[in-house]
Amino acid sequence: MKTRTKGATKTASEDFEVSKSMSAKVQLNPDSPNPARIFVLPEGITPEARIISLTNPRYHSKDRYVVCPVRGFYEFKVVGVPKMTPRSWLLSRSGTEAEIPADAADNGVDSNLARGYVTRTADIFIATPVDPIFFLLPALSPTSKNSDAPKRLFLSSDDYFERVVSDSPHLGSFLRRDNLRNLLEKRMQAICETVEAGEETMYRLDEERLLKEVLQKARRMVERGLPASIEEKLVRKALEVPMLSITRDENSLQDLEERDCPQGTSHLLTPSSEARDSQATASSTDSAASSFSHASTAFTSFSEESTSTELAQESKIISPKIVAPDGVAELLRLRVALDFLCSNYITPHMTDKINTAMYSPTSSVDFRPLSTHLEHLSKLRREAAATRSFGDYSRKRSLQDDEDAEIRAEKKRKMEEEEKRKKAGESLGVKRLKKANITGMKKLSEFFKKN
Amino acid sequence: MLEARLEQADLLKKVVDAIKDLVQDCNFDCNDSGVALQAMDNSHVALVSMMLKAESFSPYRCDRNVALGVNLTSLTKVLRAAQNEDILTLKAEDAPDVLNLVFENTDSDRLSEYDLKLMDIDQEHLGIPDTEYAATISLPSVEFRRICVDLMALSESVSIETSKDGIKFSCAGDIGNGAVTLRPNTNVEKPDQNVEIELTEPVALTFSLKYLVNFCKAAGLSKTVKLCLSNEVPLLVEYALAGSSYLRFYLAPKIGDEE
Repeated sequence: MKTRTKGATKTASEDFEVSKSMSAKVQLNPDSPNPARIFVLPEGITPEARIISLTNPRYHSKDRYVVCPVRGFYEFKVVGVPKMTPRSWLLSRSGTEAEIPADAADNGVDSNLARGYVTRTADIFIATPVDPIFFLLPALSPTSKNSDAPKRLFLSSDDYFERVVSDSPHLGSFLRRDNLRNLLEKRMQAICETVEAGEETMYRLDEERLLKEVLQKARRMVERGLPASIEEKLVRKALEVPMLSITRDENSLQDLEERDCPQGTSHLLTPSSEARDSQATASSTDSAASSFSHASTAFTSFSEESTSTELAQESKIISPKIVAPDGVAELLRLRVALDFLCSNYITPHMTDKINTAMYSPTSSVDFRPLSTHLEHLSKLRREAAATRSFGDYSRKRSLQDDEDAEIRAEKKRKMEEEEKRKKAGESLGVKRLKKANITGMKKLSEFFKKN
Repeated sequence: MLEARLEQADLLKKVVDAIKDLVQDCNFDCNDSGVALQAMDNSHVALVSMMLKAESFSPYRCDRNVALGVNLTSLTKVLRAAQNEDILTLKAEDAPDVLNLVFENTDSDRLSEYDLKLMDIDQEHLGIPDTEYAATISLPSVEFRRICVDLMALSESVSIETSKDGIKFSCAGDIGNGAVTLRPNTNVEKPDQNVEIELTEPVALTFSLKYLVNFCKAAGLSKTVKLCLSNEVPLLVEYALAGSSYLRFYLAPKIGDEE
């Protein structure tokens, strides 16, 4: 599996591809419509490897991939630059002189690189390995349009490859080589039932095996640790216990403690004491909000200055904050990883199938503790929101309040106008009758039945 | 299509005048038997029920039942443009936006035409049962109005007691108290002046004078007025119109705490 962080550590050799030449005169040239980009290609790929267009297994769009007949498939991941801190690359020959000349001479752009080249943005495209299973999946289980339960036949690998090639024609020439074919067939065996028919092996998609395979990938992803941004946004935040007002705070935490993790007292104490501290220093801000904003600033600064100290600081803040019963955090990480896989590499209709199988009671992983805990948290959050809006006088009025007030004022004006109109249509007698003393008089509907 | 022609605009003018001080907006429900109206005042303690039978008009045509939602103050403004002797014609489509009123003066060949915008009025309709009242008194409408106006000067409420001997209106206020008693009498020359009492049992009830005075605005419609009373039920004040048309008012009695 690949994420940004891993991609960076794996790659060793660097290739500079300059697609269009630019002269380095004193005056600035117009922006190139096709500026140079920096790719980091995997180590040890064969010279036959090419960057080709394949059909994205999830979005069905044509995307660029590196395909090597020996090493398999690589996709490009962009390591982006924060918009707020613009950066660029300066490419020059010095230092890399040993590696580049031969390559550059062939392309006839050496003069350009020799003078140095500055890219507009500092994005790096890193080729990271991707399991070919994902490219085969659309062919193995085509979306059936006519019937919901199509007959699934055993087909030879050639038939499947034909389907793949019809979607991604560039792959055709690669499939003529045995290397890649074997690689693909091997991967196919992992998720397919097979039958020997004469000399040929026939394949049919086995959803259980696919599920196992995907789950295994997700597990591996979790074991190696989710990327920091995913961990922060989807795991830590999802499991964050909402802070209620200070008095309620302890109750709810104790409540949680008793119900969920009887032995987790030590780490439970941290947030509540932290809440008390922040309450003392800034009594106006909500304790939960303040501690959270602290964490989030740390997070954003991390993206700007990627240094280990920041990372450490961040983890120091974050680590005590995940308060959840045993295994729930792990389950959530697993689910996040699964969702990530499905939403990036697997077609929506297969995703549905995988999800129903995964979250069914017969599934190998029991997600129930997670869902009950999340429900519990959302309940707490609702309560917290309710008490906050009820009791927090110090909070400044938000834009929403202003809008509401405007709407209310509008309504009031309308009501007044209507009343005025009504009054205008009122005769003097009706006005006088309003003052009549009607004590002791019952409404006529008490005497006469409504029709 | 509704088309109703009244020989005298007078009738509608007076009816609307009598109602407009009690209710603000109301529906004129038109069907093939005539034009009916039922509405309550804002406090829902008084109710007016009007029926102008098809016979009161000449001609009268109503193809489909229509409810003409009208603001009575606005209608009064339009009707003010009609003279009492004018021939009045009401016209409306089957699903009308406006009520068309035409006033014709036969003497001067003058013809005036008005369109009154209609409104949607959501009104609850009460079913009023035929009641055997314990006491039914008919008296000159002018007399009833005079009694109400006179007593109004002293108090806001009047108690009405009926017995074989007569009907007694009495009130007590800050400046003193007062009572008017009418004995049954028959005037052969002017039957309009008759005071007739039919009684099955004595009745004593208290009513708001403000409302009664309001009802008395209909005195111009009929020489006599009929009061129907039973204990614990609303008073009925009825002005009989030509034909079997009528204008009726109901008023809830004051029960319990007397100030």
